[in-house]
Formats: sequence, structure tokens, C-alpha cells
Amino acid sequence: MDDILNILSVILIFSGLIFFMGASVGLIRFPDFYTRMHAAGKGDTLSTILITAGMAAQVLSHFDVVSLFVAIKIVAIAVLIMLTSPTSTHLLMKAGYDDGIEPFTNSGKGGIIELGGPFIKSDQLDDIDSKVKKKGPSKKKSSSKKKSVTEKNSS
Amino acid sequence: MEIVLMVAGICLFLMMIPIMLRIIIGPTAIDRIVAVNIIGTKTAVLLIIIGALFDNVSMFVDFAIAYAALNFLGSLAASRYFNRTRPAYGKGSSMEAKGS
Repeated sequence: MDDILNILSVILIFSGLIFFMGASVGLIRFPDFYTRMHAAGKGDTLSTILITAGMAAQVLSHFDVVSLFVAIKIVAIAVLIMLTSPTSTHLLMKAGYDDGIEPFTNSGKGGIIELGGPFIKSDQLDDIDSKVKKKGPSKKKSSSKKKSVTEKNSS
Repeated sequence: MEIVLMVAGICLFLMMIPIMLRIIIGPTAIDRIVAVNIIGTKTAVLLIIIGALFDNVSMFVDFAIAYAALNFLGSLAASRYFNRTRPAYGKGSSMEAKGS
């Protein structure tokens, strides 16, 4: 029984370390704030839960009343982190979105203005409206031209 | 078994180093807060491992619970503070710089 719990704890701890390595590499290598939050929120939570579960199995391996209570406390830490870490990630992401951090796009311009982010000031609304009005019909015209060209080619 | 725990603790500490790099070079303030949050969570885990190495888990587990709870409260307060009170990129946010 002790050997089974020891092997289980070793497997859980090292799988947690692998997930934490993914989180840290993602945090240092991703190009954007939002993608970094993606790596941080999920990898950190899962690796913490796995390592604490492994430590609970490790403590339970020599069974005792005291070790039982300590294992319950460690599981309580895991539950606390499972509840609080996604919450804090969500709140920080919302704060960054309200502050106007631009997402990473292929064009490098940031697509959040077209989405209508909540941080746009009232002075800039007119400029954005004019840009959208300029962009809208031109896109439609170009697309219709392309369609007609393709239709001609196909015919 | 102690060797496994020691290797796990050392690996946890070594993987914290890139996150500390993100604290140093993070372009926005919220990047830094996220990295501090991750390091705090991992410190709570590292405290349990240190307690198992010292054969005194029952004491270190209480420290870990307090550390995790305070870490959550700290990141919550920081997110409330940086929400609409500070520009994201230091002096003059990107939107102000872009403003026509």
C-alpha cells in the first residue's frame, strides 16, 4: 500500500512539473498579453493541483491520524487554488482589456478597435465611424469584383 | 524518496526563473502581476515540499494555506487598482499616443 502511494505521488508530482514547464515556457515565449494569460491560467492551475495531490499521497503513505488531517489540509489548498486561480486570471484579463492592451494580430495593428472595446474614448468614436464607413463599401466592392472575375473565369 | 522531493523542489525553483524574467521585461503592468501571481502559487507548493523534506509537514501546510489566500487577495486588489486607474503601458497609454 505504501509503495503504491509512493509511486502515485511521484507520477503526480512529475506530471505537475511537466505542466508547470509548459506554463513557464508559454509565459516567456508567447507574443501577446492575452496568450500569455492563456498559458499562465491553465498551466499554473493544473500543475498546482497535480503537485499538491502528489504531496497529499506522499503524506498519506505512512498512515496516521495526524497525517490524515495534514492530507485533508493539503487537499483544501488544492481546492482553494482551483477556485481562486481562474478567478484572479479572469479579473486580471478583464483589467487588461479595460486598460486597452491590444491583441496580437497578423497585420500588427490590433483588432480590438473593430470589436468595439469598452476603452474607446468619445473623441475617437467619430474617427472610428468614419474609418468603418470608408472601409465597409470598399470591401464589398472589391469582393463583388473578385466574385465577378471568378465567375467570368469559371464561365 | 527525499531525493525525489529535492529534485522536484529544485525543478520548481529553476522553472520560476523564466517567470522572474517576465517580471523584469514585462511590457505591461498586468503582465508583471500575472507573473507574481504564478510565483506566489508555486511558492505555496514549494512550502509543502520543504515541509516534507524537513519531516514537519503539519506546520508548513498552515503557512501554505495562508500564502495561497493572501496571494489571491493581492492579485484581486491589484486587478481592481489597475482597472481604469492606470494606463497599461506606463506614461501615456497606447490609445493616448495614437489619438488623432
